[in-house]
Amino acid sequence: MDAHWIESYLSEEMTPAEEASFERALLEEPGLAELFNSQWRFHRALEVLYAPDEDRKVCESVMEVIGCAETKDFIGSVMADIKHHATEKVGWLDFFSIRGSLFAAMAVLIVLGLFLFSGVFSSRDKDGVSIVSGNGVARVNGTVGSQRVGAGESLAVPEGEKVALRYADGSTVELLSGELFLPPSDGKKIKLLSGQIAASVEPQKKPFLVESPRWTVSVKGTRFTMKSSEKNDLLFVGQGRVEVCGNGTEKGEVVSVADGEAVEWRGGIKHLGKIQEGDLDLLQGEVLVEEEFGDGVETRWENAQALADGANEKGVVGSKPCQQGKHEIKRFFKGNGFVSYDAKAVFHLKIKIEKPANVGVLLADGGYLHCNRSLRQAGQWVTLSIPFSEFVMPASVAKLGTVARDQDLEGKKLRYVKVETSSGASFQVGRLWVSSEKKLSLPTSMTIKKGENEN
Amino acid sequence: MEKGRDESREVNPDESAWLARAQAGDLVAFERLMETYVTYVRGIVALNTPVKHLVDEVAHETFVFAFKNIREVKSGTSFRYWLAAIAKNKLRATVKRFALDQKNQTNLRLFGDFYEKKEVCESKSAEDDDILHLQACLGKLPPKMKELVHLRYYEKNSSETIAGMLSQSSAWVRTSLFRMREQLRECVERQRLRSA
Repeated sequence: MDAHWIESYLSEEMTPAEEASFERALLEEPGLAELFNSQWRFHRALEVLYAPDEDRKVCESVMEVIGCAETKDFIGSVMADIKHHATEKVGWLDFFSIRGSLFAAMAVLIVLGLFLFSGVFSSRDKDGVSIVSGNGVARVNGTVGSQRVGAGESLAVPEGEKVALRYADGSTVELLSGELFLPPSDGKKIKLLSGQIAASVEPQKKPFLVESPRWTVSVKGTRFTMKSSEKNDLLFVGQGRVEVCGNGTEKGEVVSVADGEAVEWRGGIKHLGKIQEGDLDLLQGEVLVEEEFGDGVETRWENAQALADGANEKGVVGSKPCQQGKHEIKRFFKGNGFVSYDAKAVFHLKIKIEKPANVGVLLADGGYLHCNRSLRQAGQWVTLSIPFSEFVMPASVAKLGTVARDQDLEGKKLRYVKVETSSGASFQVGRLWVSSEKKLSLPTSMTIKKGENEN
Repeated sequence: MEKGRDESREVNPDESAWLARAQAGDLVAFERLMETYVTYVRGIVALNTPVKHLVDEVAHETFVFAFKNIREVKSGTSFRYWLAAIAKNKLRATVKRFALDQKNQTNLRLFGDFYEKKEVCESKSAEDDDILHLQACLGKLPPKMKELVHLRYYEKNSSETIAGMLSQSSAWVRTSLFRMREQLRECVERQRLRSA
């Protein structure tokens, strides 16, 4: 039984109630905890040792798989960092502290070489940009070195490879996929034609501009990630602040994006608020929610718009779009309408995500019920059918109420509506989560006083 | 473990040359060293971290620290165990920071008392080779178990999917995966004893 439990937990195949029960048992039974810890160590080591799915082409045999392509990316990122440190280190103070004449002579040659052949330190090239690494290492005539690129040139990387650009002031732009263009400009400017970049921009007097087909990002010193595809554009700011200005018809609209926040292009610039950087890859997923009721009432959601078909009260006029693929997807009800569920309800959630993730659904009335599901099939539409019985209510939440109110949730209005059916209390979908984390961060409590804003 | 014997058996003949060149500031040589030991370092961290996403962060810090301090590696010192000591210290420091986040307390509690140990690991410990033993043990698994590992960890299939592929019940899959990890643990312990 322990084996079955432990494996189910490690594989994230337990229901939330089972997980909670298992975690309690771990804390109460030292023998089980010891067994679990040993299993967990080896489970994690195996997860790390085996390369991700996309590397199958490269890694054929089981042993080759170990540490294969994931490792290449890793080495590339560490080497980029190390090169940065190495560059910093050849300053005057370090120069005089270098031990041994051989190393000093080598340093002189390197500096002279850079001065004579690359012009990195000349004032004429203060905005010069060099390729400092390609897939971790750029090789020019067999040695690691700088390969200069200039205005009018474009760079493209094949799938799975990347290239890093470094400007003379230390700003770096990593092209992680796709293609970018360096247009002629009197300042720093790049155009991301497609794919993804990760940029770290040193403080600038004149903004560093990053253009996509849909918007222009103005940067004065920050770290950010940006994706551009046929479908949409995404931007995540890791540190600092940027301003995003729409191109074309959206010209003039300027959105400010701060630390930890993201914006998405969805027919215009949509501010997504705070997200986890690791979840950026999930943002391009799509969601279609369909609901089926035990009593035969059915409301169907297509393209994230409610059709209000068969709901048990007129006035269900739908919601805002689900903001497809947003890390935290919320459905906001307009008007006084509501959708109700009874104990036989089954929730069908059709979802497509780019990477394996966890999906959580919250049903809210006076209190809330939630469920979590782990979704491993990436890149294809998957239907999750979750029976109402799988939804659990945290102990911290008091008895479910039947009153409603509007709640300001992270700057947005979420409406909780009184819901009654013949079978008793029932609930409306409050939120839908998609998360790459093992545990979904659900609210710890949500208390509503009876009679408050009752509709 | 007798250090001399261990070194002659396991050290790549090019390693000393790479190390000397890396100590003179040669990035290519350092990269060769990193290619040699990256799986080892990531594996050590993976075996000991309470949270998967810390693996790359700690391994990254380990190699950057190693680069900055590579001149400290003395002749006759095992570069691998020097890296292992850095990785373990970095891991301990990272987990300490991580533990400050209350949200993560459960993971740490479940993981046991590894992080309660206060000593600084400056020399080789018996567990440093566990990841190498694990790789060797994976190679010794029976074909059926290898297939199971492949389906679970490489293809990342659920128990249900694997059960369907192997015409077994999902309970069989879960129990077999559990037993496979037990076998690996026992095999690693045997290897550890043997190498000691």
